[in-house]
Amino acid sequence: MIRIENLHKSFGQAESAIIALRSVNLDIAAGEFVALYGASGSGKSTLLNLLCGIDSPTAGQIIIDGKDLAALTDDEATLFRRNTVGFVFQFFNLLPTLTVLENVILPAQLNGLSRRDAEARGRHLLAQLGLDDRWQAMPDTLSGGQQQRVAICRALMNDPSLILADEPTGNLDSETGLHILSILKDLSCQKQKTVIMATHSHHAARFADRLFQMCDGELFEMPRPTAFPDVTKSG
Amino acid sequence: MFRLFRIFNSRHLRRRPLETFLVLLGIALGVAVMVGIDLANQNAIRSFRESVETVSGRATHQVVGGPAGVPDSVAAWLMRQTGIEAAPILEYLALCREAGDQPVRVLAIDPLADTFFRDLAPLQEDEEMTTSFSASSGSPLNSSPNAKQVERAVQTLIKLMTIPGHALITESFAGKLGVDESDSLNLLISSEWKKVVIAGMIPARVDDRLSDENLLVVDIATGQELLNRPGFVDRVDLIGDEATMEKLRQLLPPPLKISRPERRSEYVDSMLRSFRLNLTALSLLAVFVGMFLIYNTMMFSVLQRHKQIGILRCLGVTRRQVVGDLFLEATLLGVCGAALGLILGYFLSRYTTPTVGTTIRDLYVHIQIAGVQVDSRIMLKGFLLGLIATWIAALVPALEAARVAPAVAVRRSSLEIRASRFAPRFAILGFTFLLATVVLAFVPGGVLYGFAAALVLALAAVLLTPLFTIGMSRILSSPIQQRAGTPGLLATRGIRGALSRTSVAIAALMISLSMVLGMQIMINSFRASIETWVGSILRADLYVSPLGGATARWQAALPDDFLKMIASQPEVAALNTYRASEFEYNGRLIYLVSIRGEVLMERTDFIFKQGSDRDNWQALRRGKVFVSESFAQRFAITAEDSLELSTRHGRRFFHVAAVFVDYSLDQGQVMMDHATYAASWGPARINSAGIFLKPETNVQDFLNRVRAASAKTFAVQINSNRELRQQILEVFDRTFAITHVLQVLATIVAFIGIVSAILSLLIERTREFGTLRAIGMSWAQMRRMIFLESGLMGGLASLLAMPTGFALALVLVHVINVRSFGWSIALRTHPMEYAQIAAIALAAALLAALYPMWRLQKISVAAALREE
Repeated sequence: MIRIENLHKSFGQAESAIIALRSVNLDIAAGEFVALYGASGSGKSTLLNLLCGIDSPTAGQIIIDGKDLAALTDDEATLFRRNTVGFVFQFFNLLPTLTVLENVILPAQLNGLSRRDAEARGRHLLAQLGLDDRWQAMPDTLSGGQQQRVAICRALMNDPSLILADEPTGNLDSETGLHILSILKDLSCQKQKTVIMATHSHHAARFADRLFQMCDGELFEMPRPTAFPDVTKSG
Repeated sequence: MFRLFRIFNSRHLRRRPLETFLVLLGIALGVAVMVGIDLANQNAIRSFRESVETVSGRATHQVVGGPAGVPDSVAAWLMRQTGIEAAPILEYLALCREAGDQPVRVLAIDPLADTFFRDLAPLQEDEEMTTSFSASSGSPLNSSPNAKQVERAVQTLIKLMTIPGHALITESFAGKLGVDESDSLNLLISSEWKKVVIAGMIPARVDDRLSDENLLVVDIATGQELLNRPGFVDRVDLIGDEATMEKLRQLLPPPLKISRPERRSEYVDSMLRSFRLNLTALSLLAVFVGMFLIYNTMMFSVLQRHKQIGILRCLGVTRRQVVGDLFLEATLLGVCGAALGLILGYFLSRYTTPTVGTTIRDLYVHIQIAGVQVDSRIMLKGFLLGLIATWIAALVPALEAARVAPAVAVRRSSLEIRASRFAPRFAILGFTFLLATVVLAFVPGGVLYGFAAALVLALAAVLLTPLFTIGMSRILSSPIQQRAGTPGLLATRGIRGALSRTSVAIAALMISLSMVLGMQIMINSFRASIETWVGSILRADLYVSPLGGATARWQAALPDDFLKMIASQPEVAALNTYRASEFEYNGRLIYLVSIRGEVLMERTDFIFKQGSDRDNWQALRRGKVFVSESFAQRFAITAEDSLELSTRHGRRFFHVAAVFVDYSLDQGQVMMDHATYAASWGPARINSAGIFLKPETNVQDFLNRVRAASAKTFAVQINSNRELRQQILEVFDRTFAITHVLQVLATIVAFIGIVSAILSLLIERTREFGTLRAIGMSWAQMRRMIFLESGLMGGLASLLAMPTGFALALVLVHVINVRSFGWSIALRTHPMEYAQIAAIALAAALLAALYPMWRLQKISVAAALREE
């Protein structure tokens, strides 16, 4: 589903340039749950942004379902994000002026789906994640876990084939975080969504089928051991 | 505190150069408008006052008379009194052919008596000249160079006093014209060109403004002949103590009296007070609107730094230090903005000063404003007001900053929740203010109650804005979403979600638009009322006035020969003659007007406030008087009241027959028949005439014939009825030119407020926009959302501005105008006025979104998502 070839990303120019990604190569099949594990500043979010098409590489290629992302125009990239990708943010990024249901159905409405159909699907998704009774609530009245579940519903609204989650449990307590991770796992196993998750938590990384460690912009695939260095404790 | 300011505030200001600049500009424009208007008013009054004081010289008192002036016999008697110095004066502003359109002051004096009052002698050393002249008795003096000078000066004075038609000219004026002794000048006096010969020069003197003027000095006898004032002078200047003046007062025959020279300036000051007060009130509006801009920007700045303030509080910064810090920031902005405003205000005054001068010349008195002089008191007042306005506007944001608890995680939505909660309370206060507006409008009193009513009305509208915004955005949300989809939904929610900022920006634009609408309704209603009034009183086919009236105003008269010539034409059915003269009544300047009652009764349609037209005119012809509305309002006079006026026979009562509508003389006028006037003050010198032609006459042919016949002999202006109406409306339009400028400036300040608010809101929601782009919102959808949001803000502002503007027009027309000028105006409104406001609001709001939209497009989605 995803092929990354010799991906390179740097910020700034000349001697002061910061290299976020160096020669990253990666193949991911459809339905895989992939974790990008590494400390802050290792390049995880940068890679996710490139996969989503909201940033562009300095060099290299990203091919998703046969499409070279770099060749897409801005409008094509927007449509790609809308229909192929569901993004789950660390800080949820729900719109504070919209209700829970309105937040969830937003991607569908951007696609022109009628409000009635969008609401029906949205409520179905909320029910699946146990939030049907809060569909009229405003986001700031929800707990962190609830907000993240709403964000996952939003990400699933247009039935994307790819879910990108950037530190989805970073702002949650461990119990809630585990719940979110199990939802993501379900999406991968039962709904055949490709899930790519950036995390610095080894607990979260264990949920993945494949684990890649990111360090100083380089990507290394690792076996799925039960124990490995906890980068949250490293310097 | 300064260290904290240096670390915390100054860097924030430097990192936000555009927002900082917009605040500075908002403050600067408000201060500039106020300073520009104040300087214009001040320069106009100063010019007039200086000219009065310059001519008065060292006089401590003046004897002035009624419309005819002071008789020669009284002047001679005063000059014989011991214990005082007395000098008779005639004064006239003439046009001089050789000077183009520059007016020249003609002073007719007694050269010997005048030396105690003014330095007009043709020699630098007055005492030497006077002593030599007195001693010489015509004998030649010795032949030293100084003595030759003195002798020449003496000869000049003798020429001046003995040969008619000779004049002294100031050296500066002679230099401008390129003339010398023995050259002649042509002066337009009333409607005749008259020649004077230059007998000598008045040298320039240091610290003597008179020697810098365009001035001609003639002997009193020459002056009486030139100005056609045989047996009278305008006034007699006096030097003496108050005790002596008191004795003289008892001896003077009516209607003569003794007053102070500065009284004339005070009259004019009083005459112009309402006009100046209205301009000043308008200028304060720009400051008022600017305060919203300052508030919005500072509030946004506090919200942006909420987290940092929380951290500072954690580190031990007290609430008082936070507040003090914010006020220091506000002070810096206020000082810089006000300083910029002073510079802009000076440049603005270079436009407003001549414009105000033109209006004063059109409506009140002739003034010549030499240039713009900067008054340090006005600059200081403007500066302080700008600074105080900034502090007031910064108060709420500073208190908001003080509320920030020592914590890192802060709910940004708390302010918006409070704003929504307070909206109904503000609305209740707003309705209370509306009631207060009604009370203030009906409280009897001066014009200040009217201004207070307008201010309270504006505050009421501002307080109603948050609830109005919430309500309307809810009502409009569904239809907008149906038409515009998700961008529409997000636009309406966005306005409600940032209510503490959007409602302020909407309020600022609304206030500015209300003022524009209110003024426009008032001006259009006024114009319509004037057109109706002009149609009712201007019924003559032709109107004639002396060309010299352009500068000399009511002093210029039509010659009897000309009037006889006109009256003798077979085409003339009737001739109305008109005389206006300044008169003091109850310490204020009014006008006595005399007309031919039998003509106007049949041929015009005066708008009376009571009684039948026929009865009123019959009463006038029997010796009663009409008073204008402004007179009645100013002095609380009604029909059936009596006025006591000083005549040449002593004080007499004149019974009021009716009050009539008049817009020509806002000081107020008392109108009577010529016979009534002549019985009290002597025959009237006619200022203008209205010619009624027989129905079969070709008006244009008659006009051309009269113009041709009078061209060589009389300098008169003859206008057709249509031409005169056009001129009146042109004067009206010119009068409000400066008002339009002030409206535009206030709207610019509001526009800056909207730009600043939208920019702030977009920057604050950068991460939100990044999220929308990340989940698939296209740029086209985002642009639509932003334009809808700003367009909706403009639309809401215009919706609320419409009833507010109309209410303001009611206050302007029925309270402020009546109490300022005594005019009653029929309020009329037209749908185009409202459409114009809506168009301005939408255009302003949409334009305001352009730059913020462009700036947002430059931020990458990834960077936007990283924003705090």
